[in-house]
Amino acid sequence: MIGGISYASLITQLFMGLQIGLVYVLLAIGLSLIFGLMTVVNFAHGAFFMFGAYMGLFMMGLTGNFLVSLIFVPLATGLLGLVVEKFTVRPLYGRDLNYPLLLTFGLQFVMVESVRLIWGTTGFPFDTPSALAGPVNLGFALFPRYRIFVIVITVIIILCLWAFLEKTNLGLIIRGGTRDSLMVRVLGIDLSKIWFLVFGIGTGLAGIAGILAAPMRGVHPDMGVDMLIQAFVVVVVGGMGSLKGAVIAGILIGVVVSITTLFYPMIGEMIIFISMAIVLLVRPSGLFGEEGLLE
Amino acid sequence: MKEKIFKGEQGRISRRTFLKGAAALGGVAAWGGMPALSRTSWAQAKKPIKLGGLFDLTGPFATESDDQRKATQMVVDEYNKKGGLLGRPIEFIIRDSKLKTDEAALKAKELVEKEKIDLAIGTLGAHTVVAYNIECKKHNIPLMGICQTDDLNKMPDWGPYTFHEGFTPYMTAQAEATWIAKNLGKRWYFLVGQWAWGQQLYNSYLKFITRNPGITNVGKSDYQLGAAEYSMHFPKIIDAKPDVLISTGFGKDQVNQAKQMTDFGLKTKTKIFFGLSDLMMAKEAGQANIAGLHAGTHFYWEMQDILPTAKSFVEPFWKRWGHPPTGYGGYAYGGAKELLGAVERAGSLDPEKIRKQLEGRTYDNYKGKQWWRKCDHQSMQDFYVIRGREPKDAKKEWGFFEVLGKTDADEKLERTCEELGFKG
Repeated sequence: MIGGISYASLITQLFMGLQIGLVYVLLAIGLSLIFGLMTVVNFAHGAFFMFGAYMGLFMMGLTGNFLVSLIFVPLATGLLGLVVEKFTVRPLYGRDLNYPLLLTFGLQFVMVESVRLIWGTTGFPFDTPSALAGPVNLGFALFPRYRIFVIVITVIIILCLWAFLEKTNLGLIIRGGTRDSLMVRVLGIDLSKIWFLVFGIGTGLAGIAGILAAPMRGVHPDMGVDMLIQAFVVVVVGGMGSLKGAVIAGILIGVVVSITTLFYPMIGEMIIFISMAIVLLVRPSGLFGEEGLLE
Repeated sequence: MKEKIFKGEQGRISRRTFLKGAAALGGVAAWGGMPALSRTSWAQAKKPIKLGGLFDLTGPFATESDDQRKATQMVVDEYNKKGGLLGRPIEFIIRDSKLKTDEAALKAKELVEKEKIDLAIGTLGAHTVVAYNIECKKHNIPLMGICQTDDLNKMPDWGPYTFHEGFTPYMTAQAEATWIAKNLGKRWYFLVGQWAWGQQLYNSYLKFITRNPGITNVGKSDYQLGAAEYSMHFPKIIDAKPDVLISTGFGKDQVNQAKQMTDFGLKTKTKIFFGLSDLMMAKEAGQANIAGLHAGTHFYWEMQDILPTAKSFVEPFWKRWGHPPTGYGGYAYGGAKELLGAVERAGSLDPEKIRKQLEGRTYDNYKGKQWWRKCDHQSMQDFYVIRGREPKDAKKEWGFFEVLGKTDADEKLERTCEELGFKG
């Protein structure tokens, strides 16, 4: 027993933290990827997350198959991301960091309000797929089967992304572009195509996070707003542009929030920002961030 | 170029243009010469009565607050269809507080000072209504509060033209606590939202526990308004082994809580009671997730089966908006009817005359007998306990709940006039 809390509860709480952290990670990696390569602070990321959930709902209505929807959603949100990049973000390349920031900030409102106009302010329930419904007994606690599925899928996505960035030529170019975009261009590589692709991948990841979150949190127009703040904190703590940083910071913050909630629920939400402040005081560019990326 | 404009295309003013101008000038002169009285009455006949509506249309309570807007709109349209109020059309001016106190204060100021509203109705949040009330009080504008709050009918927040159609959390807690203790058990755990209504409800429950020593408060977990994740509270709740978990979750918070309580099997460990629930929360959460959950409410649309006035509200609402009204839609409908009705009966927009029309009045707008307590302008009304039906028992598309219990309207449920700071 620690402070009146049983060890079983403590283990459950750690596991909850891991699972909540992985949802943060899923949203943060897309954000981090886009920022790392393009130095675009994508404020519309939460809106893509929300759009993903709505697309999932639409596809579930059409096919009734969750797996089909899970494949369709990142493609649909990624496609929307590509359109957004081509027609709105691209003309702003080479300008100050604030231009795309303001653009995506406005875009977020456009997307949320459009969804409100089309589907209304009332949210929709998103039923957990029947094969994944119900709790599983993990020995120390009951845990929803669907959340275990989310953990597995998130880990698979992270591994795929890691393999893509570390083991493929395209990944090499992206990493090179993140470090020194001028040098990559000097080598004769058309970086604008890579930026186009990365924006699509980033927004596709936001979409998949959206559909995965839907059975846990429902679908409504404002669902991306809070998630975006948390995702930003994860990216900042992990270090802007660092995939490794986003993963580690996401899990870390999930666990910190979960454990804090157990002992002192009053600051359960606030602890995210306290953690960020502490990390930034000690390491101004985040846990794994490169210095000077924002300058 | 400049010259051309002055002289017209042909470079000179034609005779016809001159005559038109002269006629217009003559008209203006004649109008100016008319008695001042008739000019005023002409303008009065055209000038609409402005009803300001501040709602929380963005954020976790957006759905319920939008229902308030719809219901108020219905009452306004009913009046306008029959020729308006006092012979003048009613203009309904809507603003969104975004469920934030500062935004509410800003929008209330805009409604009062810029739009110059005559009457006010709103909001849903217990904190946003306080900001709205401050502004209305300053300018003696009658305000119909349609939320649940302990502040509107209490000194010093109360104003002579402040009316509160909604329940107070104090009344809610008294009605619910008695029912819970009798029917669900005596070990209570609280999940409390860090915002005005959540705190007010929790504090009212604590007062009930102090007066009833048989009840044990086994713990409390706090959460922030609008939080998406609640599962991390569950291990501690399970460890405390409560008979009942009482939650202040409302709107999107309740939807997420109900979902996660089902997913994590919390419903099998303890009985769950939500301080308030409403139709759209059940719809968003889904029947399976609200099944077995208890909640308090002041109105549920299926009451139309037993109450004729409920039918006269539910049917036209459903026809117009495509779904049955929520309880909060009910507050707005009842409140708007009372406010505009008082103006009609008073034959004036004078706040003092409106006040006299409402104080102590008994009425039935949509759900049976209600009355305005004279000292604090608090509406007294019946309260109900509902429970989410199991999916197999769900009736019709919107038949989410069954009504388990009713507490009759009683001034004893509320703090006394003296406790609220009213003398005599």
